[in-house]
Amino acid sequence: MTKKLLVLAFLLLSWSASAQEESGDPEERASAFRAVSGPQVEQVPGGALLVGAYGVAWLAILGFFVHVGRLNARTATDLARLERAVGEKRES
Amino acid sequence: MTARPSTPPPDRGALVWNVLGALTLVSIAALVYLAFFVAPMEEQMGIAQKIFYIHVPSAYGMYVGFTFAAVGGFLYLWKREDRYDALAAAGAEVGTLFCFIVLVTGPLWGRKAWGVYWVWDPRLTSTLLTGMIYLAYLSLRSVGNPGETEKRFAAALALVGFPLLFLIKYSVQRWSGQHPVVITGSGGGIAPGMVPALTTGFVAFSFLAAWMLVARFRVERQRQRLEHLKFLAAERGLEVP
Repeated sequence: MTKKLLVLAFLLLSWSASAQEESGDPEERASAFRAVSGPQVEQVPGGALLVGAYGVAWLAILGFFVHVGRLNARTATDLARLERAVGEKRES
Repeated sequence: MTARPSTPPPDRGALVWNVLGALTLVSIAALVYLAFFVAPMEEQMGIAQKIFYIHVPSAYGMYVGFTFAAVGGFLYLWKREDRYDALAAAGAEVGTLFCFIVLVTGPLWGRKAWGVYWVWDPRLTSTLLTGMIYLAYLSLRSVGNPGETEKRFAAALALVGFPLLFLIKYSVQRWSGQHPVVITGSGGGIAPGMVPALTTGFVAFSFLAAWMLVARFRVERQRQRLEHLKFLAAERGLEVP
């Protein structure tokens, strides 16, 4: 679980770092002028960005508590198994 | 005469965890209400500016987490007590989580503000670098059950990452860059109507960070106790399942 989370976090960090490259080659932008099709002003969807930001934040926090809960459950199970093994050893 | 069995002491950790949980949920509800129903819409950024109310408190949560990681790491290297290792591990996990939130919400805000998701601004770059150092810390610890060497190396890594927090803080002042500085002395400030939401955001994320730290610390201590018991059982020739 931890490894999967780490891989996911690494991929997202890498994505955020490389996202600038998606905006296009600066050389090409400087030497090519193309007519705008559609609205004259770039429309960046603020609502979608907001939903994305809050969604990722709350999901990440929820994921953390799920991870801690699972870790806790696994530890409790192992502890119970160990206690059982000790009890059986004493009886024998 | 048989001794009367004593009442087990109350689990203060559980009480603290429950109280922190309640405070966190209430303050987060207040934050959402203030951010979306009270704080005014920003003139240029529009509704996307409301990302600010979780982005900045997340950065604060990141500082808190990484500071605990560094303090825990330092104390572990000094005293070699497992509880400090647990503190460092909890701090690193919480700090990395908030760092991840900062690095996702920031570019989404930047897309609206700058037109691009990412720029190699000093603050953004130093935050990414710090996140990667603590990610390395967590990777190191996630390789099986960490032994003494891994714990010491991880503690040193937590200490190495700590000075970068100051770099993040002062990079904007030292090298300027594109990252806004609205809530520092050199910034233009925020509208009075936005202050309650931001303040509540700091309070909510303080409780949230504390809640997460306590939860993760308790589980790590329990895991350490289990490993200790397994070791003792194996030492006495008991087959550990």
